[in-house]
Amino acid sequence: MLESARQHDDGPSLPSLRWALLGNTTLDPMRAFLTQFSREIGYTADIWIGGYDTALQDASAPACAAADVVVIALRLHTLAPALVNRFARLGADDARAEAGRALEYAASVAAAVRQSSGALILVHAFETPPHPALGIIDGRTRHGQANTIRRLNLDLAERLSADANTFVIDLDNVRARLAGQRFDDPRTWHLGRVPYSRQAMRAIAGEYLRVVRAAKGRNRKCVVVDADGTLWGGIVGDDGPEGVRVGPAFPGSPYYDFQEALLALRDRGVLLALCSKNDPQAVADVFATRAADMPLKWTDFAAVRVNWSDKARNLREIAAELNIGLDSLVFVDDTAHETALVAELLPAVHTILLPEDPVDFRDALAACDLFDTLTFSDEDRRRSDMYAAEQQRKAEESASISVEDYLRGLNMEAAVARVDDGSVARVAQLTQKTNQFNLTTRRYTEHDIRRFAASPDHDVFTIRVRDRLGDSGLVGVAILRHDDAGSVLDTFLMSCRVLGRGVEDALLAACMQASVRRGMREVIGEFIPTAKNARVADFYPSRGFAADVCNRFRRSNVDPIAFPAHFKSVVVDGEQVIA
Amino acid sequence: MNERVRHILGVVLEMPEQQISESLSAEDASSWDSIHHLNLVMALEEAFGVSFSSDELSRLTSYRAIADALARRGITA
Repeated sequence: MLESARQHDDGPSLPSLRWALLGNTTLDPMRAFLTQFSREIGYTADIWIGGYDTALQDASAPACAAADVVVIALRLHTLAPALVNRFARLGADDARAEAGRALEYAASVAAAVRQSSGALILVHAFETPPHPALGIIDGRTRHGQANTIRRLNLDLAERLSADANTFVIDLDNVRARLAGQRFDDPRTWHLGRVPYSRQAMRAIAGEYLRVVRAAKGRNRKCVVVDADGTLWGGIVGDDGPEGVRVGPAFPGSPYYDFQEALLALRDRGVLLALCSKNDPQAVADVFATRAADMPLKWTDFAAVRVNWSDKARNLREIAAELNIGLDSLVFVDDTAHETALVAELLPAVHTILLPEDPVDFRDALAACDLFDTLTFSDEDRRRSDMYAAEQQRKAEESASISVEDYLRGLNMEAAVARVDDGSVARVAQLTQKTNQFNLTTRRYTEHDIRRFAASPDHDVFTIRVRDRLGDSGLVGVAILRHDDAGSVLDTFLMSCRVLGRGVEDALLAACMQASVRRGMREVIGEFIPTAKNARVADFYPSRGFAADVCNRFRRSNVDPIAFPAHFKSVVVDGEQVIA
Repeated sequence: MNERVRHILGVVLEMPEQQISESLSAEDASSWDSIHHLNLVMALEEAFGVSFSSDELSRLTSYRAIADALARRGITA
């Protein structure tokens, strides 16, 4: 494929994504890949490239201050050539000093960028040599060449981790994944200081885009798997629950491994769903009678559709049940006919057709790289469990007398608090990932949230909820900006898993209370329509806000909103408002 | 003229394809600088599945030189 760097191909409607690339190699050939990949996720790339080996000077350039993404691509060949070319001549102290200088330089460039820029910063880790300087004894001690560079990379990662929006691009890992394909290109290095082959640059640009996708909320939240031929070998309808191939030993072990890979995704907070054309009892029988052979349990799935309907319809239902968009789904099946049907009817769903040989399933899933998040919190670890508790709640809801009784019976407890160090990652993540109950869909980084929290004109509120069925964790965020006109709700969002329980009303009441206490006259809500948030178009009007111009809604503080009465307890800023 | 080569020249050098003739060389195309040269050669290698030596690569500075290098590898059109 030939990536075009021409600008006129871009539709005029795409928002721009501003890149700044700094480094000590020729970075221009990255343009074509960044342009192409940015467009694939809906952006027009606007790329600025600093001078050759002037990264520290370029770090304070206006282009970095204005950028959405700043890449710092430093290579030891130029930064610390002694570590690369004549390592064996260096004493241990000299090697440490050289590595220390390289660390200081790279960290200084990142710090200088951060001085003026709120961009995502991506820093290349240094490459370790495929042929270490000391040969077979190189790896014996920490003073060998490869270990010296590894330690340098660890120190660099530690230094950079202090900033939540700085990410390390592990080139050794990219090289390993290109297995066998050319990574370095000594010809272009010698002719023009371009160190990497085209396929390597394409893969490196792909790594950058993984971070961007996660930051922009473009990643997938749920993987939907088929059963026969996917979770186990054979067909349960023909072979029976005892006959399907799955278990710790071959030929069941590839499927066993694949189930473990799915569980590992679940541990990261990705939801699992099951969608199979089958007799529901037969599939349930496999989970019951083969439990000892299968890491996955029936209850690991947040949603299940086992029936004879077409899979496009089932996927729509699964998305609706989980309150997520079709573009949050990845669909995995071993039958080309099924993945083709879904790709055709539901293009927003990402489909993975499993390879012929089940030993390759695991890599096929891992290679899609669509489940990245910028942060990893306890909420992620527990998300799937919380969905399971939600299923239980729904089951009880259908049996109890009235919604009000049901809600009272949940013994809900809510705590509204200001964002702090412990919650800032989760707050930023919610602004990046929440699409449906999100009144303004403004995406913020941790850096942005910290800025709001430090500003005297802003309040950043979080709400945590638990009830007798489980702890839902931090599920809502409101950002209030107080100015002369009143208190403006810059951001108001709620995780979909708690909708219908009055949590949004508790948070809104807390916002109004804060506005009253600041002596403001009114609260102004904003609604910015998107393709996904239509369900909240009516939110402010239904809460007694009067429509104003430009999707704005006002409500006077003379008549504040009461906290919903069905909560067992509501605490705001440590103060009990309902007990 | 090899139409695939013409297309690649057009995309990489950001030139309208009708301006690309068999007599095109780096000397008379202002966008054919050293950076674009590397981009061009890498794109050609990938498109045709061939590999040039560093010496050969540095001398592929005209349509004619490119067509000849491809012809030596049995690629004529």
